[in-house]
Amino acid sequence: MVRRILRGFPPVTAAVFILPVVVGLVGTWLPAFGYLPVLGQTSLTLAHWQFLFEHPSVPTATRHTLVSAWGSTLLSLLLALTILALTWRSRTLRWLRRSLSGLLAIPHAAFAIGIVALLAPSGWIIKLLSPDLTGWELPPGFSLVRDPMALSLMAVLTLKETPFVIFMALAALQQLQVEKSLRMARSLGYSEFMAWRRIIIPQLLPMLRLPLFAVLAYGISVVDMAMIVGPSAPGTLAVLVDRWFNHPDIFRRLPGSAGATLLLLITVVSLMLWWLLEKLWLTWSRRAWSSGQRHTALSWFARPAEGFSLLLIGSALAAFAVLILWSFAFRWGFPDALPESWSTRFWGRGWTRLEQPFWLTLWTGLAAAVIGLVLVVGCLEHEVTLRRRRPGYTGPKLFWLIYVPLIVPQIAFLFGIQVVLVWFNLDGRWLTLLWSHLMFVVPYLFLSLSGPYRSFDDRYARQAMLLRGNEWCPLWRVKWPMLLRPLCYVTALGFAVSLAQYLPTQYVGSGRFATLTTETVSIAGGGDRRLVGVYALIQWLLPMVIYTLALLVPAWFFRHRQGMKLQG
Amino acid sequence: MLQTRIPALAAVTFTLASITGQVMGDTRSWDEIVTEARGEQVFFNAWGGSDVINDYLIWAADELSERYDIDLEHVKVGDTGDVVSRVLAERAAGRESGGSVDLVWINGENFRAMKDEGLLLDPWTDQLPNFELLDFDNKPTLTMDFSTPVDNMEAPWGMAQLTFMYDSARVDTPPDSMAELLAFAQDNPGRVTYPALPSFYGTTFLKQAMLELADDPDVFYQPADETDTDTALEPLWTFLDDLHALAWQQGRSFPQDAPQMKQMLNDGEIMLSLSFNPNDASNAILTGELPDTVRTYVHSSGTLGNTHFVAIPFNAQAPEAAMVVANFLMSPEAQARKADIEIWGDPTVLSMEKLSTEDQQRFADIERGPAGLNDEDLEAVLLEPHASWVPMLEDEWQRRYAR
Repeated sequence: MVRRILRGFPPVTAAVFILPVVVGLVGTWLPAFGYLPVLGQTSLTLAHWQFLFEHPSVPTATRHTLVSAWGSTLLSLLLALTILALTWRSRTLRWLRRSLSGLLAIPHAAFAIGIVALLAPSGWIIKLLSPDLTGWELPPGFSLVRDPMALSLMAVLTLKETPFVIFMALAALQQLQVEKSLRMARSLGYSEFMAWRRIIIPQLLPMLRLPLFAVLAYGISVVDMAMIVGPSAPGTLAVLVDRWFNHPDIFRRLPGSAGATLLLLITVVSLMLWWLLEKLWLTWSRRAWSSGQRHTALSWFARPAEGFSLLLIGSALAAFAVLILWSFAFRWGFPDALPESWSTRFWGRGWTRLEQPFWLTLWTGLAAAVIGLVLVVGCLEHEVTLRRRRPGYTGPKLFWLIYVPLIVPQIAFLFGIQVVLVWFNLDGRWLTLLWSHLMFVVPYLFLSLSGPYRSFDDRYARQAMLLRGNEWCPLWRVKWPMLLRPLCYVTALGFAVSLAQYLPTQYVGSGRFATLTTETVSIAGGGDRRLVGVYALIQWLLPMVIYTLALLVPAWFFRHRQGMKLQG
Repeated sequence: MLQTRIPALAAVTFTLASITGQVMGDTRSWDEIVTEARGEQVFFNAWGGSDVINDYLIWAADELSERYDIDLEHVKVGDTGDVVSRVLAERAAGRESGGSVDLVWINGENFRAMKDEGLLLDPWTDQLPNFELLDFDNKPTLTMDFSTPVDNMEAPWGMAQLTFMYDSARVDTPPDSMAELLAFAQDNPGRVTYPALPSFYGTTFLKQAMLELADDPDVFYQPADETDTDTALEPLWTFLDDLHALAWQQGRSFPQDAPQMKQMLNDGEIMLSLSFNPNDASNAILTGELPDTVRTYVHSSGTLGNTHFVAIPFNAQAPEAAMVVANFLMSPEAQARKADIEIWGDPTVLSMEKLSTEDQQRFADIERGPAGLNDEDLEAVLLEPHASWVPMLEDEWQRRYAR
C-alpha cells in the first residue's frame, strides 16, 4: 500500500516541474531564431544571434558574468573548505554552525543593499572614519562597490554563497567518517590540513557537485544583486538580457531570447567544465597520495580561517546594522556617523503597506515548503523501499532532471511559460503561483534533505516494522521523529526559497500577487534608503523567524531525550 | 501546431475587438459607461518605487470606491517593459479579453511600441468629460508623445520636465548650460555624472546635450536616416569624451537611474542630480530624503519636457471602469492634490483658464516648495527629438562607453 503510493512520487514530481521548463525553453528558443508570430516574425533567421555577437557590450558583459560567477563559486568553495578544515574541532565552527541559519535566511537583494550602504564611498564605514581619521569632508572618489571589473559583485556573491556551501558540506560530512579518517591520518603523521586535503576533500567534492552547480548557475543568471553591486557600463550578461526583455523597443525581445539562450549555453558549458576540473583535481590528488608528503607550506595560507568565519558573520551583522540605522533615520548625510534626526514613521508606513504581502508570503511559503517536503520525502522513501529489495539501488536514472529549474537561467524560460499559462487560462491564480515556487523549492529541498535521509540507518525502521507489522508506523513513530531536525531545517530552507522568488511571482502571477520580495524590489527602484531599509529588514526577519522555529521545535521535542541532543 | 494557430486566431478576434470598441465609443453616453463601471476591479499597473506616489494612489482608490464603486488595485511594477511583455504574452496566447492589465502608466517608447503593435484600446480619451479641461494650447506634448501622435489612445496624467538639483550648501552657482556643466566638472572633478543608458534618464540627458550642443538642432526633429548622423552627433560625443574624463569614477561607472543620483546628491558623492519632476526636490526635502539646502535649476536655453499618460490595453478586463479611473485622475480635484508638493508635486495637465474659479483656487492654494522654480523658469521647454534618434544614441553610447 505504502509502496504503491510512493511509486507515484518520482514521476509526478519530475513531470510537474520539468515539463514546464522544457515548454518554456522552446518558447524562448523559437524567438531566438526569429519566430515570434505575435510580432509578425515568422521566418527563421540568425539575425538576432548576429545582433547579439556584434553588440559592443556583450564581450565585456560576458566577462563580468564569468568573473563574478566562477570567481564566487571557487572562492566560496575554498572559503568553506578552509573554514571547515581548520575549525573542525574548535569553538568557532560550533559558533558558525549556530549562526548558519541566520546567514542562510538573508535574502540576496537585502544583503546586497546592506553591503552597498556599508561599503559605498559614502557608506557607513567611511562615514565612521570621516572626517576625523581620513580628513574627508566629501566622500572619496574611489569606490569599493560597483567596480568596473565586477570584483565587488564577485565578493558579495562569495559572502552570500559560502554559508550555503558550508551548510551543504556539513550535511555531506555527516555521511563520511571524518573523525575516524582524521585519527588515522594523524597516526600516520599527516598534518590536519594535509589530512583534509588528501582524504576528506576528495570524498567531499563529488558530494558537493550539485550544490556547487546551483551556486555557479545562480551566479551566471543573477540579475538583482548584479544591478545593486555589479558594474554598470556594461552590466553582466544577465542584466543586459533582462534589459532587452523590458526594452521599450519591443523587438529587442528577439535578441533578448538569443541572449537568454547564450546564458543557458554558458551555464551548461560552465557546469561541464566544473565537472571536468573536479575530475582532473581528483586524479591529480590521487596521484599525490603516494608522494608521502605530510606537511605543506600551503597550510599557512589557510591560517586566517577563523578570520574568514568572522568575516562571514561580521559582514552579515554589519549589513543588518546599517539597514536598521537607515530604517530609523529621518535625515542622514555625509559624514555623520549616525543619522542626524530619527523617525519611526517609515516602520509605521512600511508595516501598513506590507501587511497583506506579509500574509501572502507567509502562507505561500509555508504551503510550498510543506508540499515540497511531502513530495521530496515521498521520493526518498520510495528509494528506500526499492533499496530494500535491490541493494545498491541509487534512485531513478533521470531524476537529476529535477535540478533543471535551478540550473537553467529563469529568464530563459519564464516568458515561454507565461504564454502557455495564459493560453490555458492558468495565470494569475494562487495555485499556479504556488506551483511556480515549488519548481524551485523542490530541488533545493531534495538537494539538502537527500544527504541526511539517505544516511539514516535503515535498521531502525526495519526493527520497528518487525515489531509492528505495518509500514506506516515505523515512519511515523521512529524514522521521521529521528529525522525531525533535518526535516524542520529543510522546511525552513524551502520557505526561504519561496520567499526569495521574484521573477516567477512576476511572470506567473500576472501582477495579482504582491509578496514581500516583489514589494521590496519595487520600492528599491525609488531609492529611498529609509523605506528600503524597512522593507529589506522585514523580508529578512520573516525567514529568520522561520529558521529559528526550525531549530527550536526539535529542541523542545527532544528535551527529554539525551541521545537526540545536537552534537558539537 | 500550438504556435501556428495563434496569429490567425489573434487576427480574427482582434478585428472583433476593434469593432466592438468603435460601437462602444459611438453609442454609449458617459453616464452609461459610469454605470457599467460600477462594481468593477481595475488593475492599474504603475511604477511602485515612490512612496508618495503609492500614497497618492491609495487616496485615489478610496475616492473611486466611494464615488464610483470601483476597486482600484495598484500593481506595483519595476519597469513598464514588464507590463508590455505581459500584454504581449496575452496576445500571443490569444487572450483577446479578460486581460490582466486594465490601465497602465506609460509614455514615450513604451507607448509607441504598444500603439504600433495594436496592444492598446481604440481611441477613447475624447469621451472623458475632463478631456475638455486639458491644456492643449500651451502643452503640445499632450498630443505628441515623444514624436508619436497620441491619437486619443492614452489619457494625460501629469507633466514632466528635465530639472537639475544641487545642494546650495556646497555649490554657489550651478551651471546654466551643457558647456558650463563641463566647466563645472573641471572645477569639481569626480562630482558630476548621469545615469547609464539605456535608462531613460540617461537617454534624456544625452538628448538634452545633443540639442544644446548642435549648430542646427532642427535635424533632430527629422528621422535620423534623413541626415548625416555622424556630423550631427559629433559635438555630443566630443562633449561626452571630455565630460567622462572629469566625471564620477572617470566615467567608467554610472549610476543606474535618477533615484540613485538623488541618494548620491544627499551623500555629497556628486554635486548635481536630475529629475523629470520639477518638484521632486521640494518633496524630497519635506520627507527628509534631501537636505533643506537643495535647490533646482534648468538650463536657460530650456530643457526637455514631456507628458506622462495612462493607457488601456486592447484586452482589458474592465475598460469602462479604467476610463472612469482615467477621468478621475484628470479631474481638477485629483490633479490639484497631485500637484501639491506635500502630496506628490507632479505638475498638472489641465488649463487653468478652463477651470471654475473654485477649482482654480485649489491650484492657487498650493505653496511653492523650498526648492521649487517659478513658472517663468519652466517656460522654456524643448520638445523631444524624433524617436529614431533614441536607438542610435543608445547603440552608439554603448559602443563608445560600455564595452
